[in-house]
Amino acid sequence: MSSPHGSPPPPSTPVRPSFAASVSRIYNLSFGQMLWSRRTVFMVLVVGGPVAVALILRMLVSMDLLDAGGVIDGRPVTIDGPVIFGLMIWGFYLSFSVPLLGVFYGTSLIADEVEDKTITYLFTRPLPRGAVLIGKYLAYLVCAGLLVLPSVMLVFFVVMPLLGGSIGAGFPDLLKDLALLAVGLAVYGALFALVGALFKRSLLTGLVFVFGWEPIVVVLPGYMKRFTVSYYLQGLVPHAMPQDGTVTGLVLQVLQANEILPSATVSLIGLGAILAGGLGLAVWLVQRREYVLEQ
Amino acid sequence: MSRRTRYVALASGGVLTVGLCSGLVAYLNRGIPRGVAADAPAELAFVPSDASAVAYADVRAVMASEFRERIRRIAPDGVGREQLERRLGLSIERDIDRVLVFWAPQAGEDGASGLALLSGRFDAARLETVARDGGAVVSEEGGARIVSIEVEDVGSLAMAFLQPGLVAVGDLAAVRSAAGRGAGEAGIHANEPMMRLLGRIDTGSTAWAVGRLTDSGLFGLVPERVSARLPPVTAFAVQGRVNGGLGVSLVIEGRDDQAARNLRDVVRGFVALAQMQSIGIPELQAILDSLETGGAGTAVTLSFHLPADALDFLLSMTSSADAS
Amino acid sequence: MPIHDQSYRRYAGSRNEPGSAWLVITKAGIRSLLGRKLFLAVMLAAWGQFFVRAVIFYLSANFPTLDVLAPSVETFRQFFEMQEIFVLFVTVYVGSGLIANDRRSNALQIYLSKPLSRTEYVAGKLGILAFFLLMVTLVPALALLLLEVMFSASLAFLSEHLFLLPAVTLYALAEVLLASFTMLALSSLSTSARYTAVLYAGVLFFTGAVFAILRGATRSSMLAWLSLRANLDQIGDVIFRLPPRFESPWPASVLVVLLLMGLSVVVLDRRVRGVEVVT
Repeated sequence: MSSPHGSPPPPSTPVRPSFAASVSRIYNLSFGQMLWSRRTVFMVLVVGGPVAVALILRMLVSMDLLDAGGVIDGRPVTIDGPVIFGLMIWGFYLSFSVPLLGVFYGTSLIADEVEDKTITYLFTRPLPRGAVLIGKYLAYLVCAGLLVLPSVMLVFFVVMPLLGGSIGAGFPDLLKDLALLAVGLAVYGALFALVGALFKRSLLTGLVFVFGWEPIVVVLPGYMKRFTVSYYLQGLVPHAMPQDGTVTGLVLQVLQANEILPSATVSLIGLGAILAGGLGLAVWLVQRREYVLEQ
Repeated sequence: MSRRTRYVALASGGVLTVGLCSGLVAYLNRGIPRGVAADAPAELAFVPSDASAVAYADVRAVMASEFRERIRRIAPDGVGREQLERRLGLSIERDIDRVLVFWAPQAGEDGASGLALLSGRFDAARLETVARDGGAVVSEEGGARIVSIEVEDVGSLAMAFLQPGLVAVGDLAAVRSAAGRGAGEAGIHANEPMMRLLGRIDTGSTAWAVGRLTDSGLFGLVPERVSARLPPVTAFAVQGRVNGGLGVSLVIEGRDDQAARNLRDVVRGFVALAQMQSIGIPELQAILDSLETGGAGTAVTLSFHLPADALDFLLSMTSSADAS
Repeated sequence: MPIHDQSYRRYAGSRNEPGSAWLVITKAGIRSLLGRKLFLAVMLAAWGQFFVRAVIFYLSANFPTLDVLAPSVETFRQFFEMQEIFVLFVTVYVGSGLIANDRRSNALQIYLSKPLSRTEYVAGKLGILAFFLLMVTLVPALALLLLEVMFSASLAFLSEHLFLLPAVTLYALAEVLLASFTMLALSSLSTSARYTAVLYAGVLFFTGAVFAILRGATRSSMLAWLSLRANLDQIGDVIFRLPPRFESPWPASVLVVLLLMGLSVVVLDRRVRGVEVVT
């Protein structure tokens, strides 16, 4: 029997957005949130500090308080713009900013939503769970990149011409540094996205990895250092690793002499594997894990 | 994306873009580095553009240094110095201020020849008379008097008074070339790789040497088959600063990043080996502790500082070895 | 006789002396943390160095050929240096949420509505962090000193280096108090323990990086006072009667440490309030 007015229109079936569209939506949502959160203070410290130090150094040089030649611990050393820039890339960015940003943002991609008890709202939307993680990860990458890379650029132009250095001569190294930092942010972010998805106390795990495991293992002989990110980053870094005056003992000299840095190819393969493995496993975990929020 | 977020993204992107463009322009127009030490000797004007090595010593500073005094205490000056002063009226300590030596290829010949440029106070007439007495002949080139002599197995050696207080000594062809160098001729300043090496020399260095190890061998002095077996080094710059002690800094440039990395490993290996050998000899350990290796890109750096005490120890070792 | 009398009754319980309420917070905090397996693992790892050094002390005391391993003043100084990383981990684990979590859940108002002063609240929280930090610094160091006496069956080392007792105590207290005060102050600034933890690690390593860069560029360690860690190292060298490792004057390091603690107290005074007045 049919109705005199015809059959009622079928209920509209919700259109599930594609994975890429879901990623894009989450990215758009998260990018602004990340940029204008309390973390911005931390970000300003991380990216503004090196620029401030670079300006101070430039001021010292212009006031003739800093010259190229000198002696450290009885060793004659020559410091110029490229050397200072190399020191800053190592000291500020590769050893500090990139791993710390990776830990902070990477572990908080999911943990923040759990902590704020807002993950329910995200996971009840018709979006693949993996897209939520990937979208947030991309937002972190762009957010960190847009703040860290210009900071490096400013430091380069402030520091490089000091004490006889040349911007033109150092430009190829700058390109390598920028690429290296972008890769570092991507790899550390992926690794700690996995840590964040895997552990409840992910931040402590991340800090132990970055400031406990990596600095110790990377100077040990054998295969242990292959289980760090910094080992593979060192294989790509254009600046020679600066020697710390406090650790130039016989043991370290022998270790350095025997240390074999990975080739650029091995480094890229290693970093690629960590990136793909970390992100893939994180997505896999997020898709399967049941998040029970604490009341 | 909100408006302020978009502004941040645009500002960051702008900084990156402007920086990259400026860097690229600087890279394309990098030209000759300006970093030649401020106290670069004026004699550099006589060095041709194709020179493959240049060395320099501030003789006056070395002679007046405590370093020289320490050496003199162990190895007193020989009779040669007295003979030089008696015959030529020339005292190295008193009359010579600076020495600059360079090697450059000879036109139309294989290999390279060297030329030494001595700055100081010279009795030109007396030097010429002594040379003439020895069979030398005098000619003129570019307004400069050239005194030359044929020496068996060596060839023509010559000496020219290029300017008041500046004497060139070396192969006749090289001396002529230096004497005839016009103001408009391209000199070492037109040689970008050499100028880049000279840029590595710090102001105040007492002595230094820079050189490029070209494909034709070490300044053309070493046969190609020998240089092919040498480590893949393309250039070097070494400088020393003499005071109470001795500070030396050496920069070697490898053919590429990989070669430089290998060289760094080799140098560090040697340093580590030497440190192990020096256990129990504190004086030697102090010297080895002052060794610093490093470098970036294609450069390998090695520097050390010999304090006055360590110098005494080394000199005493040398003298005791001579005595035995 | 009424079964249930709701009229006024005098308080029949025991009364604590004013100023002792902080102990309740400290005890509860310690008990809560000791129930966490991950934290116990961190504490056990922090005691790893103690066990290794105990074995070395035993070997050096009982095998004369191994007297090169005998303890010295430097041994105790190095012990503290190697514990620094665990001081960081314990500070971050224990301290980051101490006040931040209370602020997040608005528990601060509930705390301060009890017979508990703000000072007692802060002291209670400080007690939790200080207790665990002392457990990984002062306690193992003193235990090592005791072990040395026990293994060697002699008071010779202790009497020769009697200053080690106050030195170990003083340095441990300086390290613990600086970490505790700064972490509590940072914790009071935020409602997120995660943010506080990263901020603390960031400040610690950033000041260290600034000093390292300036030291490399100026070839001088006169600016050691810029680094949180370097200040403690410098003070530690002086306390252990060793030559200071940096060129900067050690009183400058003491001043910086005191200023940081003073600043932390000011921050805590402003941030730990029962009612937040929004202007």
